[in-house]
Amino acid sequence: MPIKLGKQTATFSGAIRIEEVDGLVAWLRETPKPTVNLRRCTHLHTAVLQSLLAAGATVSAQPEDRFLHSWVLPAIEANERPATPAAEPTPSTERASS
Amino acid sequence: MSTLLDQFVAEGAELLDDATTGLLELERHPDDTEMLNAVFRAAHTFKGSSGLFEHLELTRVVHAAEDVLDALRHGELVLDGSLVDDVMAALDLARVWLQAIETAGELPGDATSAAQACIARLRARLRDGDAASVTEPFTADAAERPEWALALAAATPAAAQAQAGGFDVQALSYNPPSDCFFRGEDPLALIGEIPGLLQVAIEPLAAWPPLAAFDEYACALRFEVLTTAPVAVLHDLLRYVQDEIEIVELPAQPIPVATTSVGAQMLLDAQRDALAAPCPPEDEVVRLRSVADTVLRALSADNREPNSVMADAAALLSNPDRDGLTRLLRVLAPEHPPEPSSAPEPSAGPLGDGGIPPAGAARPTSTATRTIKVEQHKLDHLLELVGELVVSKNALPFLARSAEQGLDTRALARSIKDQHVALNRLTEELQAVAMDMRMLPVSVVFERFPRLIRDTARKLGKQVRLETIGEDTAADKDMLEQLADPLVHLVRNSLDHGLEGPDERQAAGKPAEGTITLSAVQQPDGVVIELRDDGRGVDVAAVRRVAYAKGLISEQEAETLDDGATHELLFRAGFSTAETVSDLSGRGVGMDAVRAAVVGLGGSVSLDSEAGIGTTARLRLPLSMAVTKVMVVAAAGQQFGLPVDVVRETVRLPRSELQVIADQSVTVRHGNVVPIVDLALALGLTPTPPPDTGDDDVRLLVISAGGSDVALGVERFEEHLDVIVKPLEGVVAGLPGLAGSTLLGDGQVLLILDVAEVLHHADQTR
Repeated sequence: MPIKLGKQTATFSGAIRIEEVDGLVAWLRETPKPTVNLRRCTHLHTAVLQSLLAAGATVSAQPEDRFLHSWVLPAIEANERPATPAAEPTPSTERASS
Repeated sequence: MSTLLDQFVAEGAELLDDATTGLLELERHPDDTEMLNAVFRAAHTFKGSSGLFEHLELTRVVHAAEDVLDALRHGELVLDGSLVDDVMAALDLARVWLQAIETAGELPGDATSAAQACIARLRARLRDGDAASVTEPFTADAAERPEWALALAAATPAAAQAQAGGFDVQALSYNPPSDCFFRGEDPLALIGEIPGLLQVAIEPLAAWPPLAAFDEYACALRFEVLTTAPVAVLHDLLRYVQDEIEIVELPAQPIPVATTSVGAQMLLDAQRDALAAPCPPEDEVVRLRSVADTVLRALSADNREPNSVMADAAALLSNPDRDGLTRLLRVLAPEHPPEPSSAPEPSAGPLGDGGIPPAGAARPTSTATRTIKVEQHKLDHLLELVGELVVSKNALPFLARSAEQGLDTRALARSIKDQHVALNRLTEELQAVAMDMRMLPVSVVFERFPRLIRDTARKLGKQVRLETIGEDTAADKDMLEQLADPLVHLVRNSLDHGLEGPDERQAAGKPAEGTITLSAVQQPDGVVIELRDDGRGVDVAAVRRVAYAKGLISEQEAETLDDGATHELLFRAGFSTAETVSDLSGRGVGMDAVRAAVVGLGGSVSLDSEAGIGTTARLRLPLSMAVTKVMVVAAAGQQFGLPVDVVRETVRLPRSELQVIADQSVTVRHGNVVPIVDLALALGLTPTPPPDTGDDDVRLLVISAGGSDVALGVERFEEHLDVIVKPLEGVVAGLPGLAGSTLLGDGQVLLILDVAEVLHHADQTR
């Protein structure tokens, strides 16, 4: 299992694909302060990432994967307190995204 | 080439043609939404299929055209002539590339720049139309780097360092559509594949909703990325999401190297050259190390402040890496003349004419139809006939056995004749089917004219409408292909010389818009194609004057020639020269070439004109080139074939009835004096003396050549044959007077004469 869902913490290992997102979101919905262990995680599907962001999940263990560590982790950490979207608005974020 | 690619090339060409035809239609009826949709669909389908292959530029150019069409559909742009020009230029480019793909398997070398110029034009239209709604799937111009890219770069120290280190930095914004997961896309995975990442900003599109209302399957993120990956790599990686990305180039900033002393500079230059020189791989490491070492020394000898460049060089010294060194040297010792490396073209270029071939020229010169669509039932019929042929063949061994068994010769002969009848029927039917399959509607030729006329008329400032009649008329494929050029010539003549400008037309009481009518009519023995214009007509007086001045006609003829004969003058080879064109406001440009081409197809061409009313060129073509009816005659003891169409009549006369006028034997037919030319003499052969049978009749073939009749004296008339004329090849190719050859049933070669040429030759030698 790529995702182990604990009481408070979800442990990710390997590449987390979109098939996992259903179960994860269900778990996130009923977990008040979710944390994720990303140590063994090698990839997050975009849908999984946005679910974590939407839930304001906290990272309990940082990923070893370089890409995740360099670029994805900061995004999750910046978002840990939920409901602070567009904290750093870039000019012209409102370009059409059709 | 793969079957898939074959199919794409064939279908793609059709789609492009559909789109072009539709566009022309649209230009006349801008409100025809159905047509607009059809054009859009054609472009869309083309783009879709082109994505299967590795020809990115092709996809992008058509995509840009598609975007413009889409904007038209949504009423964001207004259709006008120049917009049609631009979209058609894109389609033309695609058409040329399609041919290149077919012949060379790849796009021409200038494809990228041509694509950029073409796309820039189309994009410029979109920007003008509605700046806010435009996404930029293509590299933006340096002059207008969007703020987000600059802000992102400013917030990323690594970017500035990279730029200073001689790297071109690309800013990428990626807005995946919300349904992208359903298409199997994973934006984050794509970004993970980008090499040389400097910054990845992941942002939600909007504030996160409460988790209960959150739709995890709708992508709610957008990305902004800084990378040192070259633009081409980015386009390649993200080729499936071209619509959703924007790439902005932030070029490397050259370090000022003015403080480098001349000596150090020379050293650095030498190192750069050394690095560029080829070197066996086993020596590579040693050389790199030596280069790095020298660079470092040169820099420290120059007493420059220790800086990032020196640190880089030091790092490279311990672990020499070719690319890194090359980059370093590019910064330290730029090639002469020094220039800011690979800055994107300024925005003036794409809006100009550069890179896009003019609309007319872009049309592929070879328009041969390589594939031909055959109706299913014709193929079925063909198969049936082949089946019968096989059965028929099986009868032959049976006949052979009967012969061996000593069957009565008479009975045997009858069986053979029976078989012949059956085979004869089959071959005739097969021939008919094969001919039928080669038939194409004349629309394959006609369909190029709307475009040609539109473009030429726009250039000449004339208003011209094209009417086509009888596009469904079928004619032989080869003939249609060869007919294209003469027809283009005639149409150009009409546009150039025949039709007047709008003012002149109105002054003459005609509608400002001229009309060119192309019509095709099926006739029992062939097809007649007419090109009619309602222009000013041929100025016969001027034609006579010019013909006289050129010595083509005598003074007396100049006064007495009727209009029909005057029109004939236009087809004379000597008539069309540059000065004629300037003297004469009518026609006469290369009409001899038109006639030669049409006659070469076994047809004829004539001109009819009335001053002030218009001109009609009439092309009469045989049904098929493949099978020619020939008449076999004997001259000088040899057999020759003559196309039956040129023969008006065959006459057998007692020699005593011939008359001699001025050393020329003549005969009178239907009240006309017809000169007699002996075929053997005309061919430079010795006529065989008439046999001693008391038969002193002459046999004459009356043929029409160049508007007048000539009687050819022959020794014997023989049979009529249906033959397939093969052009002469090798050493006999180009022999004057011969149109080709064919094999007779007994294995002999029959030479087919080109009568006009033979007579022309005889005329000269006389």
